[in-house]
Amino acid sequence: MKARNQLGVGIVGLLALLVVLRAGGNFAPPSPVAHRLGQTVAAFPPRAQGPAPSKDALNREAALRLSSSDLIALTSRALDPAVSGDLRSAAIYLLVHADPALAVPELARLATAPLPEKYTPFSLTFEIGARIRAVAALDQLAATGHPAATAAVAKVAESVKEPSLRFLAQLSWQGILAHQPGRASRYIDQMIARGGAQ
Amino acid sequence: MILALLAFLLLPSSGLAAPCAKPDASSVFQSWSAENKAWQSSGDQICQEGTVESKAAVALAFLRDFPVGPARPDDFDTGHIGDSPFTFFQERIHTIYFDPLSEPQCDSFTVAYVSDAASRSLHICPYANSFSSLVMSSILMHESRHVEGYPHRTCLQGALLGSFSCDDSYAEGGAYGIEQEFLVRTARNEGLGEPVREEAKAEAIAGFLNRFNQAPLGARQGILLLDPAGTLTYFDGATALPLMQNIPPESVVVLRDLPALFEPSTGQVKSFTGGDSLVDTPGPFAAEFRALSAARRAELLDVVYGDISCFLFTQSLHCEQGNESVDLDLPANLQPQQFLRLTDSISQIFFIVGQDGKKYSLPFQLDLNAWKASEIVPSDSVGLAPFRDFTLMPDGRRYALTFDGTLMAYGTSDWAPVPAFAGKKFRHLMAPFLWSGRLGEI
Repeated sequence: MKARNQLGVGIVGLLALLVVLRAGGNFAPPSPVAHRLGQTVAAFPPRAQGPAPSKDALNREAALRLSSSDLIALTSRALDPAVSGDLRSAAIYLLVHADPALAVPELARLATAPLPEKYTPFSLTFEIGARIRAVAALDQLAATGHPAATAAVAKVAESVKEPSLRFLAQLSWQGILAHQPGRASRYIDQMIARGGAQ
Repeated sequence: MILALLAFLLLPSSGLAAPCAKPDASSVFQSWSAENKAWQSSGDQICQEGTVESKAAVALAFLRDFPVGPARPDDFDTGHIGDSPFTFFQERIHTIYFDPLSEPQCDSFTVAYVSDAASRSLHICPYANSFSSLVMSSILMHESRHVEGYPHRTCLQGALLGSFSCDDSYAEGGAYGIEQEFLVRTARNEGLGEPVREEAKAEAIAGFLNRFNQAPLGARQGILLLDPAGTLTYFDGATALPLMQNIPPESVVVLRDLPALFEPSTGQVKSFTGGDSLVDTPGPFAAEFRALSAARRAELLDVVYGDISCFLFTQSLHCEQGNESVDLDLPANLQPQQFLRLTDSISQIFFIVGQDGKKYSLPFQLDLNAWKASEIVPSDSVGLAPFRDFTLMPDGRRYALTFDGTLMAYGTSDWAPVPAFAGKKFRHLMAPFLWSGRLGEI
């Protein structure tokens, strides 16, 4: 089981993450790897009749099937500055949309991971952005009443040092304490998702 | 498991597609002017996965293919970019060079730079390859703004405090502002896939909190002032905003991210969270206070709440850090009044203020078990004799509270009372506290 999972994320998973960012759009990925993987996916049982699910829905569905050891490996990838930015970002996407029961510890690990000692202004906001995705995911899970996520928010709010991460984690924790969980997400949405008169 | 990953990997979703085939690669530059010879000479590299040229091509293609969405102008989409990010970039950058690490301006920490605004030339360094394609796109937008000037400013707050890596405000549309607007529009664009929109959202928030000297939603690092009537007021240097009222006089108010009230008479610890009512403060330190006997609570003079948390009683001190704690009887010559906190954005140092007006330093050894009462001695090094509270704000502002309760601010060369609070007295000053009225409404 362990060996299979290591293979899954270590080789196939990395390829998967690489190709997900390459595939689609206006440019087809004409690589042998994609061709081979295409043959594999062709063996999937046909889907039930009905409207085709969106690409995002399929992505989420795939993320939900990841195992705990997959998620551990993905977190390590997400935190590794030597891994390409596209792969790191894709790894975080999978973590955020994985089974919450398995993902919460890894989201907390990502959120509380120390920032690299050496950084540049661009790399620092990239690193902070990666951790913000974890904090926001925990905040949203806590808003759905997930008890482990609530405990994880408390831990993150208590332990992170970087000011902007701490601010968001504290907002999340404030919301939980005030019986209005999801406050960090609402803060983010005030700027990003909703827009409108500010 | 593997099948699931395989299913995932073939799903086109991100909107960041690689121009792997040559015709596609060249089409990225189809509408480019003939001046872009640098691109042409790098043509072979563009299709070679893992090169910085390929990364830039993906980023540029993303700008070119950016779906036009409905205009939603607001404070966070200021409209500087216009309809097309690609056009914005193209109008400003006429030549792109890929510099080797050996180029003097292209050290291992430089992503890209505009060397000569007049020639509208952008240089991209090998280090750029370590970023995601989305971030690379935003960096292209950022650099293109520099052609029009818009130099960086020193960061007065955030993770990049003190570095030359900020704009004064988002609204002015500087290089970071353009980068941010592009990220906001990406995050909002329903024509793009969820993965890239989620990444853009997080990058935008990281930028909003760290790249501008004016924080979004009107939030600003300010101070909290507790007056004798029990009103807790937030003051950002210009505006005062009451947060809480009728705080009992015996309550000890402390700040650790949030204001918290330790109430000796009831044994309760409550936190302010922005709403109308206070909530029970969680955590072991608050629980410890609740467990104290009424007689013990009646001896409480002050509390510090931080990496090291302490209760100051009339004759003793209790401190804890993590799982360690220490109880010390105070030296007989020390009649304590309160703690003096020296705070800045990341640390808090505290002393005990005696009724004799002297400041007594604490042992502050890492190992709490090594603390000795004999090491609590008057300190001559504090240099803040007139003050009971002092704070250094992240942007350099300094505030202090005198023993008679006057709020002072440090100007260019000396301390002076804050005019906005002329004649008012305060019991306590706490800082820094990032807040705005709108934050309280979320």
